[in-house]
Amino acid sequence: MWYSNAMAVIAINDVSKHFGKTKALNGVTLAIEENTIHGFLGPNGAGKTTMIRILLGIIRPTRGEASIFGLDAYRDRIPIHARLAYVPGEVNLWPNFTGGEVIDLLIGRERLDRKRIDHYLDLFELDPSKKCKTYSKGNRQKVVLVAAFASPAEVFILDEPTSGLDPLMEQRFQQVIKAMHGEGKTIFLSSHILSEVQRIATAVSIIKQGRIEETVPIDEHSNLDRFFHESAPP
Amino acid sequence: MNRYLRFITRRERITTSLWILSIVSSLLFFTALYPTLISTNEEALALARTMQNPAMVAMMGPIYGLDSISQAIVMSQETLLWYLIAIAVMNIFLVNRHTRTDEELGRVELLLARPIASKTPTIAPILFALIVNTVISILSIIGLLIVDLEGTTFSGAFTFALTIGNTGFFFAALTLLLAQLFTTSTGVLTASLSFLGVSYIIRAFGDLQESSLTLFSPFGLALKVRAFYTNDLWPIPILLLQAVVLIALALLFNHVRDHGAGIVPQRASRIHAPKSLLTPLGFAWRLSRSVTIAWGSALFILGLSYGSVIGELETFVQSNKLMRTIILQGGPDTLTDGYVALIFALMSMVAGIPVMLSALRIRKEELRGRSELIFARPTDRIGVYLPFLFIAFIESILMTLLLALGLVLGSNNALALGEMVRHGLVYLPAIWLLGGIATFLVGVLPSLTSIVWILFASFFTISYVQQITPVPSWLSALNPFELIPRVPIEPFKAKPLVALTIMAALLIAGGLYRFEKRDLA
Repeated sequence: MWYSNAMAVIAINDVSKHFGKTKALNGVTLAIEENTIHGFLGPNGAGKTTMIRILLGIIRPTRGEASIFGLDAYRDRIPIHARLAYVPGEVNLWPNFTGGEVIDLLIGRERLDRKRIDHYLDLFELDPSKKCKTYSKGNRQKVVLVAAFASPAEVFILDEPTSGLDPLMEQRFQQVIKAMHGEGKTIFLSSHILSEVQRIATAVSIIKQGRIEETVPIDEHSNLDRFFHESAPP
Repeated sequence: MNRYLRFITRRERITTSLWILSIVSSLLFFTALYPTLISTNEEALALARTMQNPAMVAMMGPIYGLDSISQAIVMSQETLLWYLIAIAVMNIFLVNRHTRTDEELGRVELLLARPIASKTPTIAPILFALIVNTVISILSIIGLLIVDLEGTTFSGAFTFALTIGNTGFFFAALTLLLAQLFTTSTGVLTASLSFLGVSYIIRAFGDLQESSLTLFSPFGLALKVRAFYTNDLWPIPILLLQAVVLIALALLFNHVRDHGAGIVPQRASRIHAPKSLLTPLGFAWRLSRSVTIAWGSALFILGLSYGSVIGELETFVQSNKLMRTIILQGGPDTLTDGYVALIFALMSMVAGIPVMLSALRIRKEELRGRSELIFARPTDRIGVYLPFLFIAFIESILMTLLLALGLVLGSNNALALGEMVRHGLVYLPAIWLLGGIATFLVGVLPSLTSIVWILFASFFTISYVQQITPVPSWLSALNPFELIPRVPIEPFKAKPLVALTIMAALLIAGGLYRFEKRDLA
């Protein structure tokens, strides 16, 4: 790869995003290194999804800049997206498309690999012949997971990807993430569930009210709990 | 069974109540409208005569009772078929909801786990439909008697209302059978609605040829009652008998098939996207095609119906002062020219609706929360949006052509196709402006895209009111459709067309430019 290994794959530099008077993000700075599973942890409404939308070039930061592969997340979104896969938290699909159609559509004609798709369909036990309107929340989530994992991406951006999965599927999801990590991929995993992140992430950032509170390698996670509680009673 | 029926009633308390309310209230509304449309028997006769041409017969059913014409007879001729279609659609959806849809979603399985007979989930919906259709029939009789149109008799109202209820029940029975044959609720709907469409067409051909072919259609059979005239009740028991046979077949098939299965082998659904879907244009078309087809057929049918009265225009206009002022206000030109100009002025706006819908479609994707999925792929935003605008452009031309074709066919070739196409195409720049406004809003004011509908409604109202009473010239100058020269009664001018096209192009360019840059929802 042309960017140096010392350089972060995802670099977020002093990013703020204001919607009118609401400050969704307030000077976020974060560097995610290649081949890490980076947990992005924070309560609901902390700005996780806003940060991800900036990384995807869907919205533009009010201040600061975000880059992936050393390219500007907003301006260079097309070359970035060719090497990136994304899984939304709230999965809305086209009700009259079949799951299989959506998977092909999300991966795109140039990147289609039937073998990989079939592999992940089996793994997640998803029937791709059903119309999306008949899928449950968990099955809709599987559709986007299969599409993401079957695409030849180097970076995966996952926004609360397991919220609709049952425990068995969640376990398979974690296996896939670990396998991807083993292949050298970079995974940006947003979540509000501490235990999930602790189990698979190699590093964790805590975001609260639009600010990064702390970034720690996962082996020091014992004190992560404190970020999820109001100031402790005396 | 009682409990199951109560269970259905509970789930249906809103949907079915709304259906009953809208069918009965439109019956009341349109029936009460007739005294304002026709006040004398001569007017009734004149109206009935305008109906007596092939296209109107094909659309609304056979003409009858000219020798003892009354408002009630004209009303029945012009409206009964529409109520039949409405109640048929209601029954199709109703029965499908409680049979195959429930089964497909696994709800029936839950219920069958309880101590109920295995036939109950099949029988209860048809019983419920029977009750609903009876209620509608009774309310219709009361309604007709309250409005008490000239020529209303109890036996007439009874026949009219019973025909509605029975036709509804026939379609309920049909859907019950089809729900046994097909494995998906969409399949059942498609088959039932296709049956409805084919029944309508068979009846149209049968009525045109005055042959017994029409009896093969439930609609044709039902219209044989000649309500408020001879009140022939013989079609009613035939419809009922057919319904009973359909129900018996449904129960038989229900008995032999497995739960969740059907009789017709399932068409394998797509596991892979067809190649076309993976191109931006194919994707846009997949999302727009139902709109294109629905509005295309609507404009064609509107064209047919407006075209069909061309031959009777003289009689029609002589008997109706309002129509005379509307059509002849363009000057002393021939009646037909004035009429055609008016139709294009108003119907071109209708042709603009699918164009606006296609231009707004990408905003709908945003609002449905699918923009992230679409735009997290390696595609640029304009590349996704442009195909929708291309489809809108094609639609603008296609709608105009279908309207013109409908007019020509409806007029039985009294109008020339080439001329009609030219009269219609003149309005394209105004339609494009609507599309331009929509695109501009999507790019610049995405939260206020409904402005385009408010504008559209105002344009339409101005154009409409203008036909009856003069409006200030500045007001009509705001309406792009009024800037278009009304050929053939006005001379053709290129200038306003060019100006509107340029404006539309600028709006589209501005909208696309901002769409590429702005934050997506």
